Parts: sequence; structure tokens; C-alpha cells
Amino acid sequence: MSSVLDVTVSSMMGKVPVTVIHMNGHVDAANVGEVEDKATDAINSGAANVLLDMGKVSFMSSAGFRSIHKIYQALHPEGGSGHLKILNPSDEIGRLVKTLGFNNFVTMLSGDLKQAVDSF
Amino acid sequence: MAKTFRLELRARLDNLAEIRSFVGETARELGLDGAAVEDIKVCVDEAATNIVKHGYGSKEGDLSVELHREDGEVVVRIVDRAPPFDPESASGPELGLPLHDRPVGGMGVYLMKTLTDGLSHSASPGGGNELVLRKRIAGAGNS
Repeated sequence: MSSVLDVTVSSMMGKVPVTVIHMNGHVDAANVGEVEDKATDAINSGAANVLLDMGKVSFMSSAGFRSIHKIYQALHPEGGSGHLKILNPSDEIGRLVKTLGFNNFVTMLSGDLKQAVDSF
Repeated sequence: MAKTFRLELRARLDNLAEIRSFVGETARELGLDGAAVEDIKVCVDEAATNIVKHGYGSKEGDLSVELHREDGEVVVRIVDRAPPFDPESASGPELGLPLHDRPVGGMGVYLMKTLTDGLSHSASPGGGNELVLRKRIAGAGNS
């Protein structure tokens, strides 16, 4: 039984262009590289706003938070917030975001995708 | 003697999902509720990941995960044969720093300490490690 994670990337236009990384499954040390690779490719290609669509992620370990930390640092080299947001995290993942002190820097949203894209 | 549930398998990252599934189902059977089950799954995943990546490293070995209920807690015992490593000695994340200045890492052990009600490590006399995690069962007396 290996961890199953599907990662797809799409571009959406709100007030600004937003790269959406859709994840479906469990995020752990076995598969997190896929999230990181796809986010890094997007950022290297010019993406400045990234939305992690996590409504279908039922588990995430610190490996996933490590990737989110790296994505945040790539998008906010000078600090601040607003260019990386998480959509519809599970209750557990939302609690971990706060436990790890990410919540002051990475916005958590709930609701539909279009609204989330328009929030950038 | 409390009933003990045991899983033994090769320490590999592609076995993490099986470990989480076993821990989740067993912890629920032993009395933990939804959020506590998720917490203990995260903690055991972190422990197993550390064993694979930092314990055995480039080599491969076995690990076992045992759960039982004791004194109103679910107790998880994780045993490996890797070189000794005490999670208590690992430095945690620098939560006081803003994220862009904060070194990446240290979160796994921090979560293990934060999400459990007890963590203890001992080096096995013949080599290897034994890590014990405890999670209190909401509303349970000592049993």
C-alpha cells in the first residue's frame, strides 16, 4: 500500500494570474516531491501567486509543511504574506498550520475556487 | 494484560500509508476519537519517516509498531534496529521567526512532542531504538 497523491496544476485569472496546485490524496514523505517539483516549476516560470487546493487532501505530515515552507520562501523572499494561500484544508491540517505558526503568513480560505482565486 | 496490536514491516517510505492505516484503525478501536486519531497518525508517520530517512538512511531495515491501551491512554511503541537517535535531542522549528527567515525543518519532532501526551526514547541494549508515544483517551478513566 503506497501513498496515492494526484497533483495537477492549472492557471486561473482573477484580479491577477493565479497558479492553482490541486492535490488529491495523502501528502507524506514518499510523495511530497511531486508537489514541490510542480510548484517550483511554476514559480521558475514566473508564477507569483499560488493557491494550494487541498479540499481533497485527507492527510499531510511535516513533509508537506516543509514543502509549503519552501514554496512560501520562494514567493516571499522579503517576507510578508498574500502570495500563497491554502484552500479548504481539513480540520486536522488547519490545526497543524496553526500549531506550526504558518497561519500568520499563509492565508487559509474555505469556499469555492473562483472566490479563492479572486482573493489574490 | 492489555491486548497488543502489532505491525512489522520494512522501513520504507512507500510503507507509510500502510502504517497510518494500521495506526488509525487500531487507535480508534482502542478508544481514541476523531481528532486524536488524526494526531497519533501524524506522530507515528513522523517517527517512521525519521527511521527511514535518518535512522537507516541508505540502508534498509525493519520497524515494528505496537499499540495497546493502558491507564486511559493509547500507547504506541515503535521499534527499529537503526543507530540510536533520541528525538528529544533534536532542535525544533524556530517559531518566533517569521517564515521567510525561519530555517526549514525540525517540524516532525515538534509535532510528535506537541500532539502527544508523552514521548520517551530508549536505546535498545542490542542496538536500535524504542520510541513510546502516549495519547490520552478523552473521557477515559484509568483502565
